[in-house]
Amino acid sequence: MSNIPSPDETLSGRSGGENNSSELTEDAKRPSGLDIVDLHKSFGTHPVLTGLELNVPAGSFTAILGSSGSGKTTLLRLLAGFDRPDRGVVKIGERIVDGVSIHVQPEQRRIGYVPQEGCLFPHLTVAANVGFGLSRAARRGRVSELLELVGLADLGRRYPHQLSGGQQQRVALARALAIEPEVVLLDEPFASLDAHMRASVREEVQRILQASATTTLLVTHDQDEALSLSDRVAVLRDGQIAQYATPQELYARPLDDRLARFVGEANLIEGVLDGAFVDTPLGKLPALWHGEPLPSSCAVSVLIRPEQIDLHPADSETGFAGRIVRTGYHGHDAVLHVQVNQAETAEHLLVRTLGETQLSPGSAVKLDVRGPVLVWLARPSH
Amino acid sequence: MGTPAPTILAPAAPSRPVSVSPRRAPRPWLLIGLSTAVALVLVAPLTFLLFEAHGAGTSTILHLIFRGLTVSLLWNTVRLTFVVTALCAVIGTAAAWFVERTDLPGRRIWAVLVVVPLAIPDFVVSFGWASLSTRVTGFQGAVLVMTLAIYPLVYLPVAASFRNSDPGQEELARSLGAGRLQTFWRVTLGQARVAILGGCLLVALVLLAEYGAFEILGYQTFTTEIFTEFNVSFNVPTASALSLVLVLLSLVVLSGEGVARGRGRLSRSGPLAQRAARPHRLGRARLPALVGFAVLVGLALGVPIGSSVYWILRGGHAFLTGVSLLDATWHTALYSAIAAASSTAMALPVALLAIRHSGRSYLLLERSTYLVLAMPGLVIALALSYFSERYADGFLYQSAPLLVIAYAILFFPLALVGVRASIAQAPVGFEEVGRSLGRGRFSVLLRVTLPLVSPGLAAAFCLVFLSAVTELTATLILIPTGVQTLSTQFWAYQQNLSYGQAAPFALAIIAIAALPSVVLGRFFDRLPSRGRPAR
Repeated sequence: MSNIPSPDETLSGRSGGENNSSELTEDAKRPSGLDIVDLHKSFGTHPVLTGLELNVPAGSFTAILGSSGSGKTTLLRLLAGFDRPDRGVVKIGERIVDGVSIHVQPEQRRIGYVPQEGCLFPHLTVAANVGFGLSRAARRGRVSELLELVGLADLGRRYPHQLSGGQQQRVALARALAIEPEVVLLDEPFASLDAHMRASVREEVQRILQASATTTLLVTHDQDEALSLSDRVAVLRDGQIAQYATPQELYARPLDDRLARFVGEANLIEGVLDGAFVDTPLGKLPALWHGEPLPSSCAVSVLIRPEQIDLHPADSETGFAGRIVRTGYHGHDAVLHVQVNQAETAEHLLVRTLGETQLSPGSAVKLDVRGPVLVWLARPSH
Repeated sequence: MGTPAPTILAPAAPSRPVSVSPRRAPRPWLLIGLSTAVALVLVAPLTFLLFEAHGAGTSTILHLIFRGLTVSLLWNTVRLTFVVTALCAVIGTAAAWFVERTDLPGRRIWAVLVVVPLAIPDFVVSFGWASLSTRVTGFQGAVLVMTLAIYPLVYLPVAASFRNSDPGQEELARSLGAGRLQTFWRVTLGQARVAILGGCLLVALVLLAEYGAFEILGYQTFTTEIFTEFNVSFNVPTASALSLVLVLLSLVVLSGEGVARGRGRLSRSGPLAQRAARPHRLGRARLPALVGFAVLVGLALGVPIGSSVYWILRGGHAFLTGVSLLDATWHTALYSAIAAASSTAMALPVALLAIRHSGRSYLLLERSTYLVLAMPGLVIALALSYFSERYADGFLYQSAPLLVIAYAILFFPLALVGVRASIAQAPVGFEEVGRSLGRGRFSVLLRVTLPLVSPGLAAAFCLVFLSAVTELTATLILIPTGVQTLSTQFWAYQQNLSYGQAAPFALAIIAIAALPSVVLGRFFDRLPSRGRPAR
């Protein structure tokens, strides 16, 4: 299972060092890191997690990004102790909670779990929900403190069904934080909220978690959410972590073309490597790649993000001529589908422009690409 | 009254609970064992029946089945079932539509009054009519009495379905060019179809099982004939042969409902947002509708109660029955309460297994318990009684435990409905969250699961209790020697034509049965609103 890339293996050259557990030793304060080694779980004959490895530094906000059915929820349930892994080790801080003949019960893990849709106890008031995990003595002061923290100080006497979806989420979070957990797990917490509410609840949750300085693991299928909220993103694919990096890193330097398409919009074209440059139908561009130097004149796939392409008027001197096929206007920006005249493929290029564009389908344009671009060795064509 | 189950086969599975999908744990052997044991107890009467029939000899049984008597019983039973079921479907659906979907004045009061007849046992309704007029008798009398006694079995599920279905669909139909009438036929009734069928199924099963009402009216059906053969002539082979045919009929009804229901699904588009339906305006039809409701309630409620009161006032023997009324009430309440507790307890493992653990075989196990629906109380009582006398060496014969066991088996499907609903109120997700907050299993059980589940368990208890209080047929056969319940004592007086002495027992039954009805109504009203986010 050694093909799990960690951030420091990527081009950025960040000094990550997560895998040598330096952070585990230096971590003496409350928020603990989370260490997952070779985790396996299958249901019947269907393998869900196949040797997953992940190290979440203490106090960080990490997102697990995966499409639906990729095993995100299974992973969270294993971490919370609701299910038992088939194999593998889970460590919270220095404590092994799952391992060979070790399985710590959920109530002894000190993991704050915020399920989808909140799962507030319908028969208890908001205050009683928040105080559920506290001793009677601790309840009085702590509950109002927590309700204050999540901005719901006056709603303690309400019942869950009297709250909006966003308020329910915040109560669920307060309830999880009440036990001073070492790690907080968020299971698609914003999926059930309306779009306009989602943004504000997200910010609120981020603020609360930062204020409480806990280690947070967020599971989501929404790349926007993962990129905007977290310090680090782990992409879960085929039962393993396909890439684990900062949001910027993940977007700018995905490890393969599937990841490039999964996170953000991507133009993938073919090219031939020439030293530190790559020859493409759109000109010769400075190239970047992962790992070892690639041999010259080998075939590569080239990633060009839509915002790396500049548009010029059709009568300008430089650039490659093309024609706009379709426009998608988004207010703050617009994504244009452009057919390049001399390209052999029928595939359109996606080009992002700022919103005020007057271009309409059929207009002729010229475009050129701002390098450098990321390349991978081309896989034998399907 | 056999089975006043508002939602037994109605469509309304409780709304999708807030939960994390249950994942397979190791096999729940304890639950499997308990559920299997329950299923075995439930099919025991059927097994005994087959055993008896086998003992009598196949040729004897076939001879007893294929003769003129069977044909005339079949004709009587089937035509009554068809006519009453059709009438109940029309009355129940119409009443539900007026109450739920129109601006009928006093809808809230009508909604209660229309359902109350469920608390009046069929044999009391029958008594109420027959004791007033000798013309209420035979086929026509049976149609009148049974329709008035059990139309709420259609009303309840259909009203619930009107309440829960999306009025937007009607508006949509109109916008697609369907007229008012067409919309009513194709959309409104279409939505209620499953509920109507479920109600009709219950009506048909009650009709097949009914004994007391028909006996009073002098209308001969399978049940009355079986009772006579068994309890009066002690002709066991004939009784078992006819019982087999009766069970077969019930099975036909049960499977027929499944076929007629089809594969259609009732669903609401969109999430939980539900607009209140804008009620249809009755306009000029308002007065006729009001008169209709007044007549219905007057006939179904006024006549039986009025006639009981009339006989008490006429009779003036109240002091003679005073002691035995208390005594009978005590025994009725005692047996019914134990039976209700047993049924509920038996339903727990079956429902837990079916809801909390996925697996075809678990669902099948649960489904198999619905076979009991095809066993009329009379047949269950007869099988248990005969078996205990003949093969178990008189063990439990004519004893209170046997009566309670019969109740528990007979009303198990009702308990299962309530328990199932209650467990659906407490998805595993809640327990998991509770444990992740640092509480142990026991503490979570006490503080999360029980509070969530208990209203539903109480409902299941009440449902069985109510049914046991109003049960007559099985009670008559299994009643311990020297003991009387309200219904058997009523029956004894009624048969002696001592109407004045019978009437107080009828009123006592109604009074006791009405109490749990109130609890039930509140539970089923609250069901859909739980656990959904408000806006």
